[in-house]
Amino acid sequence: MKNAETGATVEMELENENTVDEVIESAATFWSKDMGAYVLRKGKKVLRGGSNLGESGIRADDVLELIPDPEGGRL
Amino acid sequence: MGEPLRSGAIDQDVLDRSRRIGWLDLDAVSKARVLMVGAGAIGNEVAKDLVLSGFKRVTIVDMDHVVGSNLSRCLFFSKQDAREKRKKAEVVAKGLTNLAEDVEAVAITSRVEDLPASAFHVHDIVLGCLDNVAARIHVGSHAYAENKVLIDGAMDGFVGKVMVARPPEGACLQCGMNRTHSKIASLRFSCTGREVVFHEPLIPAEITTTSVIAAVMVREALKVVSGKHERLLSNCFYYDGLRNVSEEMEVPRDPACAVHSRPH
Repeated sequence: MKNAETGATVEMELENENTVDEVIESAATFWSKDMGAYVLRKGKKVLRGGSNLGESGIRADDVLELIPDPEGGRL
Repeated sequence: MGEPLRSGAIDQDVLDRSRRIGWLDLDAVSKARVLMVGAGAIGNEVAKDLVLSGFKRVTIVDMDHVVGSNLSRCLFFSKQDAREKRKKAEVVAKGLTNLAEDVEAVAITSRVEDLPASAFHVHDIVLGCLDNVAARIHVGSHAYAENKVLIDGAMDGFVGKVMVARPPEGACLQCGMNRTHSKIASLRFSCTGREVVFHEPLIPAEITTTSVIAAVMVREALKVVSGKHERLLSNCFYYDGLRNVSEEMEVPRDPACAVHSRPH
């Protein structure tokens, strides 16, 4: 897993049944991320929150990246 | 016979240089009805770029008034606007008519959630210049239901993103959301469902990222209106201004998302 903001990486042990939502929350907690929206991507593709890793085609040794999903623009 | 040819006429034509871009359909651009939701940082830049690009019919929605901290990013706002707590939508509308006197700029100073569905229906394209997930969900679902292309911009510090949602086949804004989005959206509401806005984080922002994101949004709007659909962002433009890199990301359509799973 790669932290897009810092470049830091961490190895995660995951099962096919783990959902993308769960992975995002684990990674965000591990890196003490501020409350906010984040997405997980593999390559150019943003992974669906509710889908599990098996459905998303994630395999061992794949590199996933946690990126912040910006929210601002009006204030 | 048309107008007689006059020496130097091209220098009087405000859009002469744009007319030299062959694929731009400036007639369609001038007739397109744009709904711009949010008149803050991104909204000011988007509004300016729209009108300088030849858009002439712009509806601006924002319930808020100008404050001093807006002035570092908002071309149309002044200290006097902040002192007098003028409505953002009205100030931007006035600013647009100063930029081009033939612009029809309409200000709506209500909450976007109070807009009737007809407001989406009567416009050709929607530009989202918002600052929170809940409003994005609202605008995104209404625009999609009305079959209108939504170009949504967002930023946080030097990071920004533009997403183009193209109904009926494309991904919508909610297709790219997950539980972290639901969590922050829910913080804006009490247990009764009434909006209380106790969680309104002040998000880092500065003008250079704002300008980049707004420019990409308006460029996509020009493509939509000019029928240049094959050159549109397929999903999401992601910009990291600190590293000066940008890339296009794919947001797959999610048949289970709240918009696509809704019965028609």
